[in-house]
Amino acid sequence: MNFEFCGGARTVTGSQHLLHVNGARVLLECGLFQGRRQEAFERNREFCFDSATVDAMVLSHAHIDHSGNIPSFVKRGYDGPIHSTHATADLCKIMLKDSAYLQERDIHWANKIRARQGQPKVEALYDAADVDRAGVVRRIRRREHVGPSDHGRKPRG
Amino acid sequence: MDGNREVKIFGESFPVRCRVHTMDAFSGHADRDEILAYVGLTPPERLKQIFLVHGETTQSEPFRHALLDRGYQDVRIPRRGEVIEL
Repeated sequence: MNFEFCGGARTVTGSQHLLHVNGARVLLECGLFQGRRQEAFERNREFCFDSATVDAMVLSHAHIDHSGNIPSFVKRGYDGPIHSTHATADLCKIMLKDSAYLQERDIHWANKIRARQGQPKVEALYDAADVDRAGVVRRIRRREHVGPSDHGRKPRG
Repeated sequence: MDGNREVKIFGESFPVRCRVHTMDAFSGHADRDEILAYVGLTPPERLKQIFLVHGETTQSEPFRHALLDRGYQDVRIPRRGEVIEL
């Protein structure tokens, strides 16, 4: 059994941790790295694993730095379930669409600047159609509880 | 936050005409003491290794020492791409 820290290591955003256990590969979180445009552009496009070989995914909560790169993950061939709580699934429906909108807006601005510099256009990380087409929202399996026991404490953000 | 009169948004400069207030109430994150309390529910002899993620090294390093001070022996701050055998 091993654990691979693929993102959110020594930084806050872009959480992605891959657990290899009993021959299965389970991804915990698939967050968006949020930083300077150039760095974010590169980091969010390079995964440290082949998405198609991941068997299952667990999403602890809907914050974009934990969920925001799910559409890319699916776009790159992930075909398994995404396990989350009801609340997380509900929020993701709204947030991933919104994130796609922001990705498109951001790339629009980046392309404006690139055009000024005579550079070719680049594509958005993902767009609303990717979120729809990938069935990201439908893929989310609702669970009452996700993650380790909360030791009887009230769950919090 | 620093009282700048101009900010850059998408590469263009704009004058700041609004008043800026800082609110810390909307973060969903537990703070240092809350995470220590959470970890403290499992005593050091039952927790062999701790990995600190989701934080910058400047924050994680002092927190690592806080855990070591409380008797947790093996507290690591993994790098991106690091694989750890369990």
